Formats: sequence, C-alpha cells, structure tokens
Amino acid sequence: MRAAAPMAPSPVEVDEPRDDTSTDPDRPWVVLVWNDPINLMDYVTFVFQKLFGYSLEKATRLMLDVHEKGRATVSTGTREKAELDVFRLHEHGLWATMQKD
Amino acid sequence: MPRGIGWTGRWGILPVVQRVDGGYRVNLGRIERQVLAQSFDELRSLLATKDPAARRLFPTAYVDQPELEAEFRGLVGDDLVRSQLEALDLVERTIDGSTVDRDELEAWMRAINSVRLVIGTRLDIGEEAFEVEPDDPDLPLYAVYDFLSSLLAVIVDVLAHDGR
Repeated sequence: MRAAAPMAPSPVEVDEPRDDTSTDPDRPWVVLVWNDPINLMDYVTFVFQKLFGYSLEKATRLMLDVHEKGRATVSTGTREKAELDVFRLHEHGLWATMQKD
Repeated sequence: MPRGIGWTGRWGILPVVQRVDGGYRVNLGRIERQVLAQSFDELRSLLATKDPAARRLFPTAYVDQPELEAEFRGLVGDDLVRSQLEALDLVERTIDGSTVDRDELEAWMRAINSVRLVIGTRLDIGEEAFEVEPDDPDLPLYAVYDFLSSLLAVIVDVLAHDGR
C-alpha cells in the first residue's frame, strides 16, 4: 500500500537500518482504517471521497480493501497530518489508527 | 461492512430527495422524526456524561503505544465530543424542517451513524445478517437500528450523487 513516490524526495538515497522503528524521520506515518460490522460500505466510500478528495474508483477500492482484507492504508504523511486524518475519520465513526510505515 | 439495505418507506417515497433548486427535501413523518429526536437526545446524554456506551465513538489512534495515545488524547482534548455535539446541534435545529442544505444533511448523516454505532455495539451486531426472536426484549432497538440504517443509506446515496 505504499505510495510509489516518497512524500518528500531527498537528494541522497540512504540505506536506513531496518530495525529502527522510532527515529527515522523519512518514513512517513500511515493511517489505517479497519473493518467493522456496522459502518455501511457506501458510507465508508463516501467518507473517503469527502475527507481525502479521492475519486469514486479509488475510494471504492480502498473500501473494498478494508472490507475484504480487514484494513487499508488510506493516507500517509507527517505525524501531524496523520493525526489530523485520524481525528477526521473518528469524527465520522470510522475505526482508524496510525503507525510508522 | 454491511451493504446498505433498501428504504422500505410508504409508497416508495424516499425520505430525502435532492431539490431542483438546491437543498434537499425531507419526507419524514411525525413519528419518524420523533424516533430520530429521541435517539439524538439519548446520544447527547451519553456524550455529556462520557457514558462507556459511547466508547465506540472514541477509538484508539495509537495501538499498543499508550504514551503516544495519551499525548494524542491530550492534544485532541474534547474536540471529538465537541464535534459530535455540533453535528447534533445542527440536526436538532432542522429536525422538523421540510428542507435542509448540504451541511445540515451531512450533520444528519454523521449523527445518525453515531447513533447506529452506539446501538450496534450495544446489540453486538456482527458481520452476518441478524435475526431477532419475536420475544427478544431488544426488538425495538433492532427496529430503530434498521430504520436508521435504511435512512442513512438513502442520505449517503443522495449526497454521493449530488455531483460535487
């Protein structure tokens, strides 16, 4: 689910140690939405479109990922952006969490 | 996630339709509006008293990271409660009206879904379609849940096809 392009391109590619999970500033935070038995499919699709401006196709694909795989990454970015996105998803009753990619 | 079930209202009249001149017409009867008003009243009480029955509306943002979670909660404070109450305010101002604008209808959508989350959690709704025994004491609650689910499905459909 990672975006093909990095959020903030850096001039030099550096191989970061893979086991460092807390201090790597280049790894974005990801916002996950988890499946639940109450939120309606069309509602979840609509919320993705409304909050993130996604096309119907992209929002539907993400909704189906949540439905079929149990979760999907719906946005990435800085910790501040991820926290705002989580808050807005919680405002709409979606089960959203965030973590380092 | 469940699919939205169809609206089973009288004579096929949809409860919310888009108006040609903008806004949305609300075709709900007196009793349906009373059921909604009472549901919203109850949600307001749960929010005001921070009742554990409403905990589904306040999910954990950081799983297994209590320090980050506490930091997040400190930052967010009561904003999430306030946001829920603002939606309820908007809905209650328009609950008896025949026409609502888009902001008001989105507030209806959020408030109705919040009530569904609280009731659905209380009833322990699962992925499978539920069946209720006729003597189940929670039968009225299932009926309200069904009504809210159908109404929400129509509202989402109307909002999503408004071309904006």
